[in-house]
Amino acid sequence: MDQRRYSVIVIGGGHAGAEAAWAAANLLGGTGLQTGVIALVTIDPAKIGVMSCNPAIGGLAKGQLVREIDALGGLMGLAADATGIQFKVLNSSRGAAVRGPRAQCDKHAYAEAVRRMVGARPEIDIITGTVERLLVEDARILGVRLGDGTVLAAPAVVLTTGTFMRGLMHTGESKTPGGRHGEAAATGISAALTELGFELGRLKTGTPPRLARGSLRWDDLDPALGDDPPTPFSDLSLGRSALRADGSKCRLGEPTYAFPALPQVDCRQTATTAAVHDLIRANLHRAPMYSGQIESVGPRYCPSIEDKVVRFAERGSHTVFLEPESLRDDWVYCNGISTSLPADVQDAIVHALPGCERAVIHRYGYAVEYDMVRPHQIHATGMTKRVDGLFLAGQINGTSGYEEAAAQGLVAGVNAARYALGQPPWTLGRHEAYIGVLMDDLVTRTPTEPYRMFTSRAEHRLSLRADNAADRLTPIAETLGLLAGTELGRLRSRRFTRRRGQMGALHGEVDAARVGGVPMEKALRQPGFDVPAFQRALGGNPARYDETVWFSVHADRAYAAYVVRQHAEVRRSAELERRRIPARVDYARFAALRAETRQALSRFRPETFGQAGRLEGVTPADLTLLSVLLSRPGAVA
Amino acid sequence: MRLGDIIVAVASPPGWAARAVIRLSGPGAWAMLSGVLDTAVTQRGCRAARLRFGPSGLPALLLAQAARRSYTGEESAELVLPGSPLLLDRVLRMLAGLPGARLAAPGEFTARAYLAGRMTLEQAEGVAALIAAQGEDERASAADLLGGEAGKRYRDWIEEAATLLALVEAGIDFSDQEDVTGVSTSDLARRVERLLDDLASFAGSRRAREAEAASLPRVILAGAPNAGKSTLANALLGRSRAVVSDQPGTTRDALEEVLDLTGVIPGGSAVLLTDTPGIDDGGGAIHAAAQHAARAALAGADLVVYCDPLGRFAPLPVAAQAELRVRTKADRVAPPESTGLPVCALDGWNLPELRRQIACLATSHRARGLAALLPRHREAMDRAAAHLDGARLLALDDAGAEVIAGELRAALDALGELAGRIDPDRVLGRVFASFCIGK
Repeated sequence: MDQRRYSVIVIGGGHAGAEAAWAAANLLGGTGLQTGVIALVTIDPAKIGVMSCNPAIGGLAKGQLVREIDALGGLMGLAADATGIQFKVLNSSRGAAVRGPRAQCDKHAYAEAVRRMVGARPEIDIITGTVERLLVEDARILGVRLGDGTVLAAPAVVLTTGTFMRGLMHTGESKTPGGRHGEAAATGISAALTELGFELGRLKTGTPPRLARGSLRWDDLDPALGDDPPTPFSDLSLGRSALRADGSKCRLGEPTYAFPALPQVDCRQTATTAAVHDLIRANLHRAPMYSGQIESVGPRYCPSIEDKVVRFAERGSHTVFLEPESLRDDWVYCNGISTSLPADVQDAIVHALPGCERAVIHRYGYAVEYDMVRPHQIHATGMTKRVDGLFLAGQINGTSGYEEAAAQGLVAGVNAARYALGQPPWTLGRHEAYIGVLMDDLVTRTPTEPYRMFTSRAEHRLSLRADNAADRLTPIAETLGLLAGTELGRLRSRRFTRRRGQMGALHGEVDAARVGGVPMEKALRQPGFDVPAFQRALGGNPARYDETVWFSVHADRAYAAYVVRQHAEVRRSAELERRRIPARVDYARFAALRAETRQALSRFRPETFGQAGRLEGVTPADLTLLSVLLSRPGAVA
Repeated sequence: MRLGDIIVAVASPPGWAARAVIRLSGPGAWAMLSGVLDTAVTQRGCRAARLRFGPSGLPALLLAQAARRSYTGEESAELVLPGSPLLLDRVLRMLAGLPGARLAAPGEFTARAYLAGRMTLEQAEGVAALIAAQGEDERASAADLLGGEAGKRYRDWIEEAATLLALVEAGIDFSDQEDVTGVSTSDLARRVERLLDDLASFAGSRRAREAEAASLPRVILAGAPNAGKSTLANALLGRSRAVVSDQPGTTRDALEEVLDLTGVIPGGSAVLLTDTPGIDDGGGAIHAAAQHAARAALAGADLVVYCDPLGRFAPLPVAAQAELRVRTKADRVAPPESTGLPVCALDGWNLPELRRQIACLATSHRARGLAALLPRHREAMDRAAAHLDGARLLALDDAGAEVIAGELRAALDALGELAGRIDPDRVLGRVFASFCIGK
């Protein structure tokens, strides 16, 4: 039988899988392990990096995630910058901490960029196949067996199944097995995971119809414009970029592309009408969510149009954004009317939208149900507690969104590579990154809907800003060895060194300066003292520092008073986060704990006292008791 | 449990007493105390000191223990202070509010002693049970409190704080949604101010004092109608309060009075004495409400003083935690085979002995739980008020929503310590319930 050995196997080429393979390649490449150390297994290599739903990257809180992925040497920000056709910073009138960069991308160009970037890495072998078995012995992963009998061996496997595990698509009464339109579902893996003892759950998500732009009264509709000039995700896209528009790397000395690489487009907006709402109400019995055909839970933050009409019956109209999906075709994404109603009802709904009277529907909206592994079964590294060396990332852990998937892919990819190298696990704290908040929420909470990031989930949101992602995380990427192995990584390091120097110098100027008789740092805390005022007050040529540096120093100082308080709290809790709880504790023997506490602890098996304290049903008094119980002789089997 | 913190708690029993003890333990406890005493604490030992508290300071006896020799194995100290509950509470909150300090969690001193290896294996066996029991006492007290008027107020505050936070968060996380209109800063400031007023009025209110009284052990007088309970209560209290008559069923409602037993035995405390209507199984429906109150009082009692002039003591309808049998009207001839402590309220026969026995028996687990719980609640309310005021000022200053939200979140977390935490997911739930979110 054919058998090949790898350091890391990544299963799935979506946003989690691509980022996992890329991060593992960055890390292993930096150690001198060069070619063919990572296998990226996918059902169809042409679908790597495909945007299944809205071809947009970033947004509120999600934009912060992309900036963090980028600061850690990831690929999502670069691919989005190279292929964006409309950029917009959300909340641009609010404070720096809650601004979220967002881009609509050319969906074909984006997927191509990801394919090219991943495909250009000598560390990564792309392998076509479906995984039939996870090879596990003594609770350790040994590799996978593919449908054609090929065995791939590796000490670490990253599983990113997206919506493909027992995927089932619904449009009205019709049900089609599959993970995405026109693509087959993965059926073997659910059974393999169940056999290994994993507890699975089932979730649901949906997508709206896609329209033909030429069939719309495009020019009669209100335009929705992007920012001019646009702001990129990656610091590498500022000035000269290392990436060409097609996503391939430039060699040193080669002329580079100027951001934005692609022509920018306008979107349009229309709105639902009373007639649309009546139509939906009249056909509710044919909607899978209402007929009982779908029982799994969908997200509250992304309701279908039938949900909106039922739950907010008093509203006569909902805005619908019409967003071009690509420069190469005429598909338009109908943002706001995600639905799984039957095709004939979708036709009627779309035709009742002003401007869409003669719309041709390229693809009908559908809902998809899929299996997930309940995330209390993973560590904050992405590795499962049940099988050493097996990592899960993306929708399989019950999240939704490209950015959430990519963030987990990065964490799992780094940790899979470290595991293969025999290095200790790596995690980010809640105070360090949204990625840290995401992983911690996954391992301490019981999700009731697909998990999406919001800024309000991050208690340290004032310090987790999009603009300072590099300051927070690029030094960590350097320590991990994620930037040493590639030209792109080294360029990132150089750019960051320059930024660090400028940040230090400007902070120094602030410390020494006074404005109107008060210290400059005090003035910077006043609401209304904006960046231009800051530049004027400090004087000199503003061009001595990059615009991004002015922005970040201004934000650092504006939030300084609040952030100092948060840091004090972080220091106080650090001990709890550090104190580890042994992996194999028989909580059932701790009769002194309340039943509720015992249950929560045995289900989640927290790794630290910090995690334990965040579980529902665990009080500070329980932690006191737990520390006593764990220190008793013979407490740990 | 954070081992680096300095923990503070009252170590003496709840209620009024001549002296009370506050205990501190943790690295840096001496240095911290030095900052609030008129003397620097640099060595172990016992000495008189003055606590910088109030206009003229407070006399205190200081016992300092070095880490090597202390119970917890950490730098420790005890402050012996005048035993007024109100004063103790204030001193406790002042100390717990110092940087690096906080109120101790249930059983935390013992846990630290154990973790420092200060106990033999035999002693250690009981440690977990002890900590669990203290935690249970507090939980039971909290449940008691939440079931009552205070609990309702707590939940109202939490509801309002969560609603305000949801409004502010909606304007941050969902500003790209057509349906979302954030709250104006002036509206926000007004609503926060109203919530602050409510918190402040509660702090000085009758309800708060009732909660205070509730931290005392509860002693119930029980017995058949006309068993002489009210007369006995008046005799114990040394004054006339209950309406006394020789008609059975004169006492219709449960009457509560604080009975001071501090001087009766060493370490004795005050108790809450409740005189109930007689329990009368054969009684008619007209007494139903009074009867219900009597049974509820019995169930919640730490000690039942069961009065029966005949000394027969038929089993009570509700099992009591502790029972003291008293043959009332003992000036009458003792019936044959009667039992119980004979007491005559009219001439005072055996009254001192009855006081002594009540003082001995009326130790209350729930009362201790509540005594530990209430300072934490008050501290949490103080913290919530401080953050709400911060939010109000920021709103008036037209500061950024994300900064205002930070203060509201902190206030909501503090209030959550009273009656259940509202996590970010539940705040988001409120947003989704009130706005149509989702493009």
